[in-house]
Amino acid sequence: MSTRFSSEEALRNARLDWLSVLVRVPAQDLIALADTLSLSVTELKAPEVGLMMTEGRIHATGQPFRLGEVSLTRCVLQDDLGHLGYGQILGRNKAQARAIALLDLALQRTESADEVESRLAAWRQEMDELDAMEDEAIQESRVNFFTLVRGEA
Amino acid sequence: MSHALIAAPAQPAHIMQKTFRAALTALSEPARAVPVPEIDSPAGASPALWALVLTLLDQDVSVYWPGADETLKANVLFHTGVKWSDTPETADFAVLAADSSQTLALLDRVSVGSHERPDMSATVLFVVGSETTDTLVEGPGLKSATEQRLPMNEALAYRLGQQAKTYPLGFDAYFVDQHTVLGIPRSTRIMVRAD
Repeated sequence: MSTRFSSEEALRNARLDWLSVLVRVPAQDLIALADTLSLSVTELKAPEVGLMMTEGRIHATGQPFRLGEVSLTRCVLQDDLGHLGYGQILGRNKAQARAIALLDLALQRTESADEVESRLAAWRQEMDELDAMEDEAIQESRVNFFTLVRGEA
Repeated sequence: MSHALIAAPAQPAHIMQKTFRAALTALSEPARAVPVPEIDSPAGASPALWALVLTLLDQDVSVYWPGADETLKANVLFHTGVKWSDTPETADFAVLAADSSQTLALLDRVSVGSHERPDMSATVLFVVGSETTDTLVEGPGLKSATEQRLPMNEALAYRLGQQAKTYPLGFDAYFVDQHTVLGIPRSTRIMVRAD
């Protein structure tokens, strides 16, 4: 029953990494893993659905503009040690948001982290493979523009 | 580690809609105590104050709350995402103790808006103490001038009465006790009974 991270900074960096993986994992896998955990938690913010405005930029460099609203589900849990587990996903799957919050909590505790970490590693690899496949597909359609020598020498 | 955070109320949207309705009623029917839905509140805030805080504050506004301790501040920031202001001048909302001797000085520093944008003024939430004052109140939302015992000391009642002179500039005030809220908008004229 203890904390894995001694500093806020270390927790922040590790958490950014695992949350970026967890939000991409299919919902049923997350929920299945979360169901196997036995953590006593209080729901500080029960899963709730809301709207978030997304911003876009032309070519990723132009002026930001309002792209439209997307639905967002969030959930915040607290365990008996005072850790906070956050789950935020696009969409309205409350069970998925709660599962992410629960896994976020589990990863902060020494005794439950190993099991989740091993699954996380498998998921991370899966995501990397997906990314590599997508990269490849994009590369195939790549067009190289080049300019021939023009005009009179 | 983290301070003692309390859980958000169940059915938050319903609670906040009812509280917003109460806040709206309080300002449109001044000087009348309006009941607010009862919810669990953190130490340092009454249930009614906490319901109003959850309803009125969000990440687009700032609050000045000199009386809040670390735990209360942590709860407010966690549940609302509000910007914490260290000076009254820059705050959209101020939470002040009605009985405190420093309150009058702070009121001179809260935003009263500008003639172009009187709506940009602050809203002040007064935490009601034990002092009361007999007054005569009149203005929009009151059918006729009525005698009211208001939950504030005489100096504060006089100060709020002075707002008639600066109208449309000024701040709107809520007086919050355990389970009710009472509104004194800037348009309400308060006369302290001299007897």
